[in-house]
Amino acid sequence: MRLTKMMVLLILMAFAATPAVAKIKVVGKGDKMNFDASQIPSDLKGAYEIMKVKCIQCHTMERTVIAIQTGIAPVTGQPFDKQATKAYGIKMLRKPKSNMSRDEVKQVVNLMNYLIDESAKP
Amino acid sequence: MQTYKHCLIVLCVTLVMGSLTKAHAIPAFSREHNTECATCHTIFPELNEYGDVFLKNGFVWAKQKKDDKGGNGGAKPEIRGEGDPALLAKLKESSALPNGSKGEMPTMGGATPKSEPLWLAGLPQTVPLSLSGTLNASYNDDAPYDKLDLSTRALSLLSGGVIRDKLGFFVKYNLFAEGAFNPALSNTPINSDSPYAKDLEEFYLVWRNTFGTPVNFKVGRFRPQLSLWKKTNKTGISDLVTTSYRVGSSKFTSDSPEDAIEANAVLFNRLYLAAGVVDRNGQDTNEGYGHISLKIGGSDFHAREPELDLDNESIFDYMYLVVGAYGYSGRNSGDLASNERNNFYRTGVDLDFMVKSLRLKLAWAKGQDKNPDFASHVRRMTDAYVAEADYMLTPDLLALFRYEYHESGDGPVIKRYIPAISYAPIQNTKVTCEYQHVTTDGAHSNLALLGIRVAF
Repeated sequence: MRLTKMMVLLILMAFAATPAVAKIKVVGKGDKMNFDASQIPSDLKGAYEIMKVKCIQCHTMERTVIAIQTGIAPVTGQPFDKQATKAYGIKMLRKPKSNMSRDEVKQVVNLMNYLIDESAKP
Repeated sequence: MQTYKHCLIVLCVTLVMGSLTKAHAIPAFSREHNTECATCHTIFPELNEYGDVFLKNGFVWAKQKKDDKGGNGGAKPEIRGEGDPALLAKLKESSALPNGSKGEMPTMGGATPKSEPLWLAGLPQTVPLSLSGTLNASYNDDAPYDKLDLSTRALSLLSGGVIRDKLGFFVKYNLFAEGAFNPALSNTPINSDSPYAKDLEEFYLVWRNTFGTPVNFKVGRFRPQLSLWKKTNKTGISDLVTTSYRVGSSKFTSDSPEDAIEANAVLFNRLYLAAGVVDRNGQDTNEGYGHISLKIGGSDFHAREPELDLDNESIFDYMYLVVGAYGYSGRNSGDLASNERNNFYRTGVDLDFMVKSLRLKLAWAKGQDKNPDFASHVRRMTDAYVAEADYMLTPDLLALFRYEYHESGDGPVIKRYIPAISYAPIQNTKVTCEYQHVTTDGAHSNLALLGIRVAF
């Protein structure tokens, strides 16, 4: 009886411990491509909304998705890592009429770093 | 005074003819790198910081330093097997682009997988050709005839790229460049008067990072690196007087294409040096030039962004200043057989200052010609100044105001006041409206220009 209880408990724990998201999924194709918003953690939802609105002023989200998934910036062919996300953030901050504030850039950089970590998961 | 007025009209028309034939945005680069014009241009063909780096770097995106970490935490594709490790690394780098190992990756919009056979053959991934054309209308109330002139100005074939990151190339061939209007000949003059009409305006090769050094060697026909702004590096229609003025009968201008060899290099990330020798037909003496420029603030000449604190706001983070100086010494004549030579020099200082959406360009040029009419040996000194303010109203709309001062020997003092507005509804199509108010020793004249430029 005790053994049965233990087994039931273990099974329940196994279900409860299912990993939330192994990797952020991508939805859409071509210029409609984007990260699956439902898988973005709640504390990064605000950054996601900023990215969704501000980044597409100049380029599609596809470019960002590709960079994060492959670790290579599509245009330059250069590594797209956490060092690069900050550099790109600064570039966009300095870009005339990019319409991005310092705080928005900071949030988007944090989001991209999170996505890079997620993308590196097996 | 009337003579001056006529001279001014001719000068303005020549200026317009000359300037409107230049269209240097290179869609071939956009195709090859699958990126938009705005990556390198503000409103084409004016370069932004990154376009300037791309040009300085022989048409290659600046690479990260070797000690920088690679993508996704520095994990690079593991290289195994025999053969040339450098070649294998390059192939891995190319194949590391999407559609490679990422099974779920959809078709690319951002990056294009490289073709291995093309890369091995040293060929660009796309046919590196593009066209650029200019249409314009001008209104000159002082003109004796044809006050309103609508014309098809120019069509150019452009090519540019790099072979295996070692050999950059650039070509501009003018298929058509309309000459000066002459009603006695035709209403649609064909290649009649432009100095580069139906001709090879530029063709040069750049041997990048020669023997692993920062030095690039540039050989062929090109505009020597003198001013900070190449002739085409502008949003307005007319050229800057500091680099486009002529003296007497001499056809030399600081932005003339020359057959030359140039060595240039970026040192200490923010210092750019260039020096070259020029060989023109019939030349029998040394002729050469030098340029130095220094960038303070902003990204460096390798396009590396400055380290900014994202938690604290500072206006200095949005500023950069580039200071450049140059000199050119040469000798020319009216024709090859003539012994009447003109020894001349040009020197100048430029400042390019940017803060957020405002850009200020200041230029000063001084020159001396010892025999500019190839006969009298009367020396002429020339001074020219330019002050220009550009303001980007929206990413596709830019307004500018320029003041120019030009004084040459005993000639008139010419002052120009030039407001202009440039609009690019699509990145490869630009409409520019420019107004020129010119005073020549107190006499006034006005010219209105409308130019449409498209590159594809």
